[in-house]
Amino acid sequence: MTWNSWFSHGAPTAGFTGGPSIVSRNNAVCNIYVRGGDNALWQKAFFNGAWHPWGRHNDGAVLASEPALGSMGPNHEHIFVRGTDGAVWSKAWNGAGGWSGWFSHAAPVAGLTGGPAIVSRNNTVCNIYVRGGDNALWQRAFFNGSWHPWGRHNDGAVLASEPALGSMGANHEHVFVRGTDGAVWSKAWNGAGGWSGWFSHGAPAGGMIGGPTIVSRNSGVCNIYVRGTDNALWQKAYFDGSWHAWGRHDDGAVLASEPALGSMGPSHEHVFVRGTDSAVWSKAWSLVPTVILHLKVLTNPTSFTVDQMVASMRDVYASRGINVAVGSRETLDLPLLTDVDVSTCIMGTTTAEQNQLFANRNGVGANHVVAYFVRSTNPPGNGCAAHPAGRPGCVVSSTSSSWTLGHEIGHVLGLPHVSPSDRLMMGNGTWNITNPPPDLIDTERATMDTSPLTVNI
Amino acid sequence: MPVTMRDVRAVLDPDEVDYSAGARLGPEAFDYLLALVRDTDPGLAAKAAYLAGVIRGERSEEVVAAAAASEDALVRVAAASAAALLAPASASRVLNDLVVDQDSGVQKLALRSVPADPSPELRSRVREVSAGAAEPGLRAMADNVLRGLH
Repeated sequence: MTWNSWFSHGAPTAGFTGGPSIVSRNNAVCNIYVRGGDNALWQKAFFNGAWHPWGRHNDGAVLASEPALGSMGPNHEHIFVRGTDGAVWSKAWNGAGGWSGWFSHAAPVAGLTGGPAIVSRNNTVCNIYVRGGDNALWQRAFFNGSWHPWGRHNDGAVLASEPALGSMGANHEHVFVRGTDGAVWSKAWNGAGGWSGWFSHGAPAGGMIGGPTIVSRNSGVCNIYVRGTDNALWQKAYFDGSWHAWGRHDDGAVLASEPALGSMGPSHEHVFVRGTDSAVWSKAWSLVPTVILHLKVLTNPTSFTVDQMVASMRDVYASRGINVAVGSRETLDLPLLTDVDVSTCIMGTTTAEQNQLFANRNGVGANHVVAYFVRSTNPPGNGCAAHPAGRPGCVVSSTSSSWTLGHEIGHVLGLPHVSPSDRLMMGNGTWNITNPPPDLIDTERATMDTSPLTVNI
Repeated sequence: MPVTMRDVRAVLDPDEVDYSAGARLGPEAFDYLLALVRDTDPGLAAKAAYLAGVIRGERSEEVVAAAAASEDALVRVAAASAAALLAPASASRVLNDLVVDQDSGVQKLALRSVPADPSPELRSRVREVSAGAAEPGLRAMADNVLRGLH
């Protein structure tokens, strides 16, 4: 999985206040909503594979908060805002029926600070949460076909931000807030078990501005994103059954709002923010064809380091949208195999020494590729991609060029030699490549993509 | 058409060298191969040494012997391997020192190239390896070689 670059969505002609909000009611649609500079609701939609222009909702609504968005089905989405009367208002879109009128949900008896947040853990439930005027968490629920009264969460929590909501299943929802200690706190509801206690997630190094936002692209993953005090995007992830450390997105982005999060599928999530140019910007994380490479070093190369070779390979492969991930690195002390017999180095034919060397996979996955860095091949060559069945990999000699690794792995992925000297797979020696970095062409990319050794992660 | 260095490099430059095709260069390639063996690029020197063996000409031993004298173990490995392609007497001369080389990779390839009827001196050195090599794999290889000798 890889992040793509930040992409600008521009802004409404009236500008906008605060940050963006987004919702995807299904995997083919995404809508950005903002509170315009004119306090009207503005929308920019992605459907039919493309983003469409900003449009104004000319329904007379005057927003007093950023919108909160949700969906209760693939053809339903609704918008909740704070009105100028201090109440929560909503309207819904349901396909053929178009937009409903605005509907008031009133407000907690303590009033509310900021705007509402909503979540639907399944198609029959919707919960509005707000930070009450008393800084407690307040909730109003829709279930059994109707809205129920506002209720206060009397658990002693004191909120220092609006809540952020999410769900990791049809009977699960969780609430994230900024605590008075500047950390992110959450609690979860999971049906029969009721509510958990509050749990601290800490905060990015240096702290954060505003409150947290969260997204779960599937039931096993949850990501918290915040705007750090350095105005960078920070993330804390839950996967493989546990929470992991805060990490900074070192992509140069400078945020001018809290992030807004969404997902258009179980392997996709995207982040929207207000940029310093007052436009909405987004970037997405999604599946990318990836070669998972394991490095096993018997003898280090002499002209380039292993890292330089991997970087060169990564440059060329990335130019065609294929990621190279280093799965592991290991030193092998096998002095009698570092000058390895490869005979004629023909795919499908291996020597006893190749079989012995390639047996050292040491837990590498079946669809991962191993590069063995040896001193030399016998007969002498820069590398050899012939490998035993079921043990995909290659050997790279110590005298190889910086492109040999990518070249040999290219063979492993099914690419043959070509003549042009500006191509990675040129047959006349990668030391003689004429316009580095060398090229991969469309048909080669297609071959690599269809290899079972190129996996979407 | 006379063979040129360009022709030789065209054979040796590929990442995966086709030595069978390179053999067609014939004896005219030896001067170039010798120059490459004496060059400072060990990768090319190793390939040149091996090709000299594959060509199987009168000067094969000269080129392979030059490689065997290289300070670079990687080149000596190629010489040791190429020795298997030489006539037995030539191979014995080249391998005399390589079978007791300080580099275990060179020794491995040298042992593998020992002809079935080696010179008495080479036979004696194989016995030395069998008896005293630090690397057990080399001792085992030397034992195997001795068992196969005439």
